[in-house]
Amino acid sequence: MATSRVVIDPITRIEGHLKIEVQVTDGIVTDAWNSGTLFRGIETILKNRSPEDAWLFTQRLCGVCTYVHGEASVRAVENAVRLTIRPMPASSATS
Amino acid sequence: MVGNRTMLSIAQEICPRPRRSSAPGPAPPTGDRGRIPQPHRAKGVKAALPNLTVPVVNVPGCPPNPVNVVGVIADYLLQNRLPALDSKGRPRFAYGRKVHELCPYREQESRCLKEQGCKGERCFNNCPSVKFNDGVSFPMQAGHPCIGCSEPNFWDTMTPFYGKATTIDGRSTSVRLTTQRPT
Repeated sequence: MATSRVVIDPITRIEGHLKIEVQVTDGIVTDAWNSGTLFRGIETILKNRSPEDAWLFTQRLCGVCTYVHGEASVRAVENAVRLTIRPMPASSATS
Repeated sequence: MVGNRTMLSIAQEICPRPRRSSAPGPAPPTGDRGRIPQPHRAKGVKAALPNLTVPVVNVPGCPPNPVNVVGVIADYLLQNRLPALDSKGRPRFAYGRKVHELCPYREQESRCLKEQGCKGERCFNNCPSVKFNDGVSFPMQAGHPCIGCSEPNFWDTMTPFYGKATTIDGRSTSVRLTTQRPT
């Protein structure tokens, strides 16, 4: 049984800093690990700041998937204050 | 860490290489995301590499406008000299005027976002004239106030981002006029 390990670090052609390790046994992947190797500390930075500002900080996690981090933060704040956003009226959503 | 190397070690290797100039801009001038706390210890190029002898041009913004990044490089290639810089190392052709001065909505009471916390009066950049995405739009055109992202330490000096601008104890800040709590 031949086991080898493939390490790809960094994963290129994505914005982040990702390391992938793959264990291969007899030509079949038997285990895999991924690591995010860039520490940002956004959670720590957000402490004691205005919740309305939070989404602008979390957006900076990534220069490619910027928007989803912002939206996740907005949803978290809305959930925290139990805010329900009314759906957009059909008339304005289709424009 | 990138490929088992720190960003600082990569910067120490790469930044001194150009003989004449470099414009490694796409980070804010100080490169930090909040002074207190600052768990990542990130810095701008000049602060991280104090012994660097190569001239540094800051092209700040979060993100900086690619027109300005390319503009600095193209200007250097055409003129064989660096563009005129301001006291913060920014090219004057892009950061010579305040966002508010260039904003088409500054005279329109219905569109001006000063009361919502717009930082255009304290921020030097050319967003309203160059715009983003090939000239499609810029924040105030989409109805969002400027957050002042091309000024040093803007995460601390420009926050809170929303609310009416005012000065308390000599420090510029924002005050929210109304706070609505969910019922």
